[in-house]
Amino acid sequence: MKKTVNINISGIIFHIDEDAYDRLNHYLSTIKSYFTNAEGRDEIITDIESRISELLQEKLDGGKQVISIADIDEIITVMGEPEQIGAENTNNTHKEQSESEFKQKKRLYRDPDNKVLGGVCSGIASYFNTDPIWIRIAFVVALFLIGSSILIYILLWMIIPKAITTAEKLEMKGEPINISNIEKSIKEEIDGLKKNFHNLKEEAKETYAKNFRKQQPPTAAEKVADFFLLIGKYLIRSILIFLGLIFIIIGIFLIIGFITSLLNTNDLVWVSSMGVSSFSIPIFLRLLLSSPQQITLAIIGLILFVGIPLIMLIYNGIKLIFGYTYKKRIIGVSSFTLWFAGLIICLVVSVTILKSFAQRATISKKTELIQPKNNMLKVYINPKTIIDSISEYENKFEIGQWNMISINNETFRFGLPDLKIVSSENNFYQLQINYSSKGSSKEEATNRIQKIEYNALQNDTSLVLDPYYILKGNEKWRNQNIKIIIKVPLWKTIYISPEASRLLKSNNDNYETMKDLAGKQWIMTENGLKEYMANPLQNALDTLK
Amino acid sequence: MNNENLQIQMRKGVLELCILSILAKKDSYVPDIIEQLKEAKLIVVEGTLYPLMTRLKNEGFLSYNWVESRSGPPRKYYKLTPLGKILLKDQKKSWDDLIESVNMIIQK
Repeated sequence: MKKTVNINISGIIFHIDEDAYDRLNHYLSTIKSYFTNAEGRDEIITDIESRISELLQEKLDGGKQVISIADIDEIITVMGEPEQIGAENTNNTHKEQSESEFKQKKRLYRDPDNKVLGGVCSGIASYFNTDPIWIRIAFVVALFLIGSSILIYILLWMIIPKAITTAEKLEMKGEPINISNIEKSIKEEIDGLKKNFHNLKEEAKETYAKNFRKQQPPTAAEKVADFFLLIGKYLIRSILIFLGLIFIIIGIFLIIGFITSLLNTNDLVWVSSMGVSSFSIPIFLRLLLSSPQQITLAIIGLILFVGIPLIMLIYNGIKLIFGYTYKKRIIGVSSFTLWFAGLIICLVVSVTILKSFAQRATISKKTELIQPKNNMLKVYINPKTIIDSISEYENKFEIGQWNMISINNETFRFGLPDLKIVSSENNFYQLQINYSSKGSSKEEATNRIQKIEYNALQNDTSLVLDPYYILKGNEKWRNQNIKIIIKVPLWKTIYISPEASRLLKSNNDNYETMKDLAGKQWIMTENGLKEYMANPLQNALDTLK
Repeated sequence: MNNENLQIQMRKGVLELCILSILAKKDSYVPDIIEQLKEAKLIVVEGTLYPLMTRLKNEGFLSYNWVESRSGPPRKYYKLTPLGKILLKDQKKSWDDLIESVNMIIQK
């Protein structure tokens, strides 16, 4: 039992075995491929098809109903192999041939006959007409200089098509593709006599063309139009090549950046000098996500979501440069599917992260300060801290008020507190510290607050503040915050050291700028802080203003 | 191998002349032409002719009429145009000249 299909050739319907159909279909499409450039191609194919149809009809005259593969083979024997039919075409259209020789351009292919790995180097060498050994040496040297040249090789391997057919191999070498050349590349011989016959015929034909078909030479206007068309074509081509180059350069830079930020698991997280930054995605994720599985998932999601568009950018850049017009649906569909999966994963991870920031808890600790005798509280920064001056560290990672610094291969997660100075509701200096954190629940947020370490000590008339708060252990980042509020009674003064003034928020309501406040004595008035003058009368006048 | 190739090329070279000659006698359908060529041992496969016929037609040397057929689709019957007749005459002369020249050399 065999499956049959119905086909329509030249308006006549035939039942035909599936295998026979495949052979016939292949036969016709091969013939077509030999006539891609020939004039009157459709007519030739139609003629051949109608003859085949007639021959098939003859086969069925004996009461048979279905065309078998043997019938098709017989017909192919009668009609001739595609090569024979095609060869006839080119031999008789010598003019077209020389024209296409002129238009022939090179294509970049991988050379399967001359390969070490994937034939990339030998293909490039063919394209630039050099010996493959130079390209190979260049690749090996590049491998030692920049490790990523192996990536480039693999990428090229994936993108550049392999020269499989003889036509492609000729295209790779820049020789014009036509049947005679294909023959030549196989047989490597030219028959002189054939040429003689051709010349005779061409001469005869040309005489007739002159006598009977007075062809008008192209007018000047047509020549000018052709010229501009040509210029336009070259212009478009060079713009496309330029675009392709830009695609590739941007793509490669971004991919290198992306890969290093994925592989970078050093404690150094954020190197920002001269604007060149490196960023560790795993460390960043470790701050946000609690389980290793979630981190792995997030990294896979990011690779798909970010990496695939970058690879497609380079892929299309190379296609533009070398003028490939082939479209591989499989590449488009599969890359989109993977990208979409990456998008979903990233969304899921983002939702997880957002959930862990859902609730906020705040704990407020109040301390009555020992009242300084001379009505002046001095505020200093603790000098005996590990990190002397945050601004000295270039390799620091910031999210808002929150920072990360690596010292001696140890990572300190710390934040800068906010300092605020307000008027006291009674006659005492007071210190209030508000700790806050976010978490998936109130309890979790409260627990996280317990892991914030911050010290404010009083000794004599001065208050010594830590310059930063630290997160103990491997605490995750949940927007932990500290607000220090110093309450100053009316008509009493406060001195803030220049270092401590850095904790003041400049947009705070009562005082002008932290610059003004730094290193000076200030007095709390009914209208907020004023600069303290030794002359009380002056102070009173200031207040009246 | 070389000799065989030479024969093929020689046959191909005179194919056009042969077709024109066949059509000068009688308007013909491609398989008819094949039949006569086969008799003269000039052509092996039929498919070879179709591109050639189409080209000759496009160049104005041939024209055709549709003729209904009992078995299968309508057939194209080719005939020579006045231009084709002149081409035939000229090719015949070239052919005779060539034979003469070649013979002269061979028989010397």
